[in-house]
Amino acid sequence: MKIIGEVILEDKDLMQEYKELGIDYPKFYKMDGLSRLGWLATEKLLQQVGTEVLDSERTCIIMASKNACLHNNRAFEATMKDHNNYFPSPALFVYTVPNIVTGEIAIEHKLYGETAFYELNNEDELEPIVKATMATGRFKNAIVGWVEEGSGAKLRLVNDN
Amino acid sequence: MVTILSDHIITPLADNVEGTLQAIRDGRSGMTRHTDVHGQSLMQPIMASLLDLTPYQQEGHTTFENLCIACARPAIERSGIDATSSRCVFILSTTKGDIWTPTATTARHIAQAFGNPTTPIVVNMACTSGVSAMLIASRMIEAGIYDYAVVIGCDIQIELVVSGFQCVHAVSDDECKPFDKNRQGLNIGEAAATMILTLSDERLTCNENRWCIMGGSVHNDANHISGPSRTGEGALRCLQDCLALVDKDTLACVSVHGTATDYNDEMESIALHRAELDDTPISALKGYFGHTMGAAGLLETIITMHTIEQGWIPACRGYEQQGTTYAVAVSQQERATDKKSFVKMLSGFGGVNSAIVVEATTNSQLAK
Repeated sequence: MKIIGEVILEDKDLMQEYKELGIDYPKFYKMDGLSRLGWLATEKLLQQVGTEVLDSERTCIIMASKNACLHNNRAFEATMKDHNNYFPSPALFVYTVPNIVTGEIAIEHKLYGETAFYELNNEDELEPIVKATMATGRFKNAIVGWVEEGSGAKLRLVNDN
Repeated sequence: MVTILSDHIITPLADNVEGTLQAIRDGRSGMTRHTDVHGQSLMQPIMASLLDLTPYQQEGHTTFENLCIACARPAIERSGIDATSSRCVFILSTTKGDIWTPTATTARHIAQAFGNPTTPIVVNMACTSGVSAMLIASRMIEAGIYDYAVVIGCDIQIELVVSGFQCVHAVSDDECKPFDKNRQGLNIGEAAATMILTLSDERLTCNENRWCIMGGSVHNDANHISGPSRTGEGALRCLQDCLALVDKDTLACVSVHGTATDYNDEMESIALHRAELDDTPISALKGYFGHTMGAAGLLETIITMHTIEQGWIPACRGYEQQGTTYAVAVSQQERATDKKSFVKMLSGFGGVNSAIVVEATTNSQLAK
């Protein structure tokens, strides 16, 4: 595996980051915090390496996190805690699984390859998973990395070689 | 390719494979109407297949951890593997785990209960987690990173999930009807299922068949974060990858996701048709125990494996008449089969789809 590019993005002022990116993608506003973080970090990574590296069938997205969609789970729970003021939101419910972030990226770039999400203690634990996934020889490259809401994201583009 | 050394399941129908298979054969389901989910009251009652969790409420571990441990123990014992070895990894498939605790911590507690020193892996790919967990386990073993994997699929239901599926209008008031014209949605279910995997090797096999995971794949629809693709893009690609691994004439069935929601079953019928699997028997099991989320992939694979081994494909409980654009070979009657392979397929939020090929192999096949 060869690392082609790397992006580190702190989880702060994401709205400002979005504006600076210069991409008009209204879906960004609908995303939960984890998806915004992972999506923004991916866009920054792609600005670095160029979107032409993406292969609609053979680019893989592998992300991992410790707290996953904890923030959004809390937000969704708040909408149904009080049975007298009960308004569970379909839009929030969808984000109560963490792999949605990988789906957001696949949708934008029309990637039909593998999208995967793991819940781990730290980013080092993702290494053997990426290694085993790339060892299948099924993928040309992969967007891989750590996304932790409230902290930040660290993504890389790795090539099969 | 990896071999399934042993398995175990805990469902509302029985706390083992044999009892669950008998209940399926008898046409029983775990579904009852609930006004609460494990003591959490619900705004609207729900038809669901829930476990009696009392046996798992013991000190030292959470209920979820105890359920996983109780499900893994018999499988580990029967497999004969050394779970304390650093060559053995625990892989947990769950969508919620203990929701307010990082699932990596929960998985660590489960692995430690067996004296396992390695760092576990938690797969959370929504409803496809189970098949994806078997796939990453296979890949880790095939890459030589580990020799054995204890793969556990489990979810315990909570109000948050039930309310969520209610608010997206995905649940049926009655028992679910996969692929039926009058299907109204899914039933929430819960279960635990475990599988022990190792690299396929002819020395493992004696006279009897050994079930192996031949391979599989994960594909995104690249279409919508919650609704399945109208053209079944991801599921089609998964099926095509499976058909590159196995001749479709040797398939006993495709064990589909079959949640009994309008969109899922329709999407699967389109993907099956596009993959030219219209005549291959389709098995949909959620009429017996609902949608068990993180457990679904393992549970439904284990049940399909054992029923095929005994020469039968379960009836699709709840199905009466064709309710999808393309007719799929689903049946309300039990069917006989002498074939020894199948595809297990799942789809989920995030636009993700996954499928694997599972096949019974003999010594002579492995020697080739």
